[in-house]
Amino acid sequence: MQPIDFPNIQSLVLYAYKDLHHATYLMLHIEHPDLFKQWLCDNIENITTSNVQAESTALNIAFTAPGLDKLNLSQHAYQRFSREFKEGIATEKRSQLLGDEDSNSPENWNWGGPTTPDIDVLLLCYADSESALETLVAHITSELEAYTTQLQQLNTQALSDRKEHFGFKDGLSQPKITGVHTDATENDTLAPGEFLLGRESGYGTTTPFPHDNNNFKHFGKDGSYLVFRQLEQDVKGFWHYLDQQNVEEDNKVYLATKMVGRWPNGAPISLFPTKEPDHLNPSIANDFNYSDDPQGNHCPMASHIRRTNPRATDLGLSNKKDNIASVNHHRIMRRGRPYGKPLHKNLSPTAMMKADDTEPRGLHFLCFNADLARQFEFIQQTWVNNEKFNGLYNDLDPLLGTRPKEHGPSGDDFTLPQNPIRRKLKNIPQFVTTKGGAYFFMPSMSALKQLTNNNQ
Amino acid sequence: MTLSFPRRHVAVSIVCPIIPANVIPLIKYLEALNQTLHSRPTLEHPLFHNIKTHHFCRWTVLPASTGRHGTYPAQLLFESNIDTSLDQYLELLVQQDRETLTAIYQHCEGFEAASIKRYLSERNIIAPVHFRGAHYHSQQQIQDDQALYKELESFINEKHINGSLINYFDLGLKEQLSKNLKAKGTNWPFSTVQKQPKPYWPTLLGGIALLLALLPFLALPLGMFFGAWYIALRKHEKADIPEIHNNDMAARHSHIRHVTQEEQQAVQSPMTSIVEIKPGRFRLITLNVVLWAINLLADIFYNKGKLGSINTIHFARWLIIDNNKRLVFLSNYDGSWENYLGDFIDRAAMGLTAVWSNAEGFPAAKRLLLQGAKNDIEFKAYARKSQLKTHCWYSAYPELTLQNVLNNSHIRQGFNRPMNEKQLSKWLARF
Repeated sequence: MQPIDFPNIQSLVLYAYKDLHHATYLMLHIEHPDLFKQWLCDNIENITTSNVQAESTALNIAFTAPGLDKLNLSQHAYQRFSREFKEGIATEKRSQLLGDEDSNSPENWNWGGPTTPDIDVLLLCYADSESALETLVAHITSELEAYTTQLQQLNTQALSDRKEHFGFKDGLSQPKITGVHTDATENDTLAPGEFLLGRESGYGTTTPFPHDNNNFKHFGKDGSYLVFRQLEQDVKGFWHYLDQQNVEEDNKVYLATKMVGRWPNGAPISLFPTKEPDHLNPSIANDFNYSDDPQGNHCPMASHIRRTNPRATDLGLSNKKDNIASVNHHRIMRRGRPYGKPLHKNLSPTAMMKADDTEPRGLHFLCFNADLARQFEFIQQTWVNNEKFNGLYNDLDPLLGTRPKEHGPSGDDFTLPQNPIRRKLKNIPQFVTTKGGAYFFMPSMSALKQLTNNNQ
Repeated sequence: MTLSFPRRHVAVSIVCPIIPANVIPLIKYLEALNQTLHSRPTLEHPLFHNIKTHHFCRWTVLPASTGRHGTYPAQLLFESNIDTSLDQYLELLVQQDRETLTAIYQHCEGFEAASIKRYLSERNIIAPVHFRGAHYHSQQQIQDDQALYKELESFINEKHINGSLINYFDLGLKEQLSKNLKAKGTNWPFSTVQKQPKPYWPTLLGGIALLLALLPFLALPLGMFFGAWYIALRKHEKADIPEIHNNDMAARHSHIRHVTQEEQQAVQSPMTSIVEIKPGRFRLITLNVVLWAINLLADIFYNKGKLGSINTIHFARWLIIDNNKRLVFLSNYDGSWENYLGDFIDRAAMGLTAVWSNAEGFPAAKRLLLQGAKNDIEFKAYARKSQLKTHCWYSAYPELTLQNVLNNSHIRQGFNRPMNEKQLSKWLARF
């Protein structure tokens, strides 16, 4: 296998900047492509690459298909981008597959939909302090003012203990890449081509990459597709729904834990089936694969983490290894961060059941993958937004599902297998609403240089 | 006690040439019919909903085309998976809705409204492979099993909510469920005994015994035959012309947009694909033998809902049409296309390579079984390229996956069986 070309890869693809707690995303529409190219050329040194450790700030850049087109990428190379990327996230068909219908419909999006202006560029700004972030964003904004229109400035909000708004620790399970992550375990280590174009994938074939034979040789190589979705979370609705369930106080958190698959502190319910441990040792946060829980008595089949990464769950294949290998064709590198004030500052479930405000909050969901159809879209369509996942009847993802569905089964059940017979939560409302979305491409450094050098 | 549907599902595949000028009106008619079938709320259509003996059916137009080895006229393909004989089924179709049938087939060559049944029956062709997901389950049985599941499901939920379920455990939950059903008085199907596919091992043992007995006499000629066949195969494989993909990516992507328009709308989807068979008798004979072997395996081995380890196919078939020149694949599957194709690559690559490597354009195969479908990028591109739009498609139970169908059936069958504690707990986990 070829070695990873670290200086050529934008750092965010491989690393999450965990020490840079503050982030802002800028979405731009290019008004003057040539001037923008000049800016990019002048600032190319400021893009954070994966061979250096980001100290106090980091900056990365990605483009939509219209954005690349505007910068005069050759038609030959442009046409070789995947169909999903070129069509964009908001087509009618794709919305149906992803569950972006009804209240999630692109018609209602804040950005990225048919009623909002085209996004060309995404700038991702990270810093270790709020003031450093403000300085970085202000600097970029003032420089670009003359040749772009800023469509969105999306801020993020780090929540205590790396939790997301429902109150659960997030980002615990990430795939590792051969040749990048040294702490990798066998079952969690994927081929570079799962995230980088032009590299060998888990199938042993080379992930297709757009290029031509002139100015854009190897253009797509070492780049990655970036999915960006703004997912608004109805935290009040979530805890109120649980509050209405006819169980004791403690059991409300237990039910929520069953829906998620992890306790609020991130401890997997597979390892801690009855009680949240006081402390979660990070080394065991992913030390489970469901092979000892085929019925889902510990971690329900319908739960969020089981269906977004079924690990060794029996999906029809007879042996554990094949199931894991087959699941690993559908992994993503998550880079999301929460936005908005928490419903309660400690994210305590009891407090959140009582709390009441309507301020918008949620997750800026970002993820990298090399094949949108096989990775991100697959997870969303085949696992999350599929009420029939692995033998179920009517259970969409309890957190992310679009409910009730207009066509077919309503999808608003949640089955908790237990002895002697399962319990079922019914009429689960929708807790997450899509508010924006776009597919981006994060090019390699050499591709960025090709874009800036090309003056056709 | 009654015995469930004791026979095997029959594959109906009727292919008729279309009068060239009528191709577009026919497609329009079928698409409109499809719209009616999938409108919300569901409008019952006599040709589809009134017939209780078919599972999935489709009418689709195979457009006129020119390939490497021939020019093919536009043809109308009708696929159905039925519980009766072809004769009874056609009789029923005509009886239910002669008007719609005439409206469809008047676009076809040689059609006479007066002899519609004969016209169809004469154009039915045999499918060399017919895979059935739920063997020996009639449509009626599948519907009844789902009604049974729904009834039990809501009973359990109700008792859960009012906290009285606990009272049932001591009395025996299974007995209580069955008592409750009987009290409701409706004719629940839970006394129906399920006919089971024959076990495969007698055939297997018989085959091995026969082979061993004949081996001393056949070893030499068989060895020589296979040796010759293998050498010929490798020669053919090396001479295969690799697919030259259309370099026009925009056109390729627009083809996919077109064929996927109606795909993956809900729980199930149809897939229609057509390819040219490589020329010459060697490939044709090899293909036929492979199809025969797959059909045999599907009958005696893969007859419990899984094809290999794929558990999402209700019905599928291969057909050979156009004087042995083209191979058609029809499937009615659950879930997403990506999942279906991923399963093909992860779980059935050898079988599919053995079939499709005899067709033009398939990714290069080695020794009939290897490579081919394992090349995910090329294989998916091939699958999309060979895919056709399915113009009109009907499912008798659109909200059920094959896993649901089989689970429901196991629930019903459980009522007829005494169970130990472990079996009971497994059965209760099915709700």
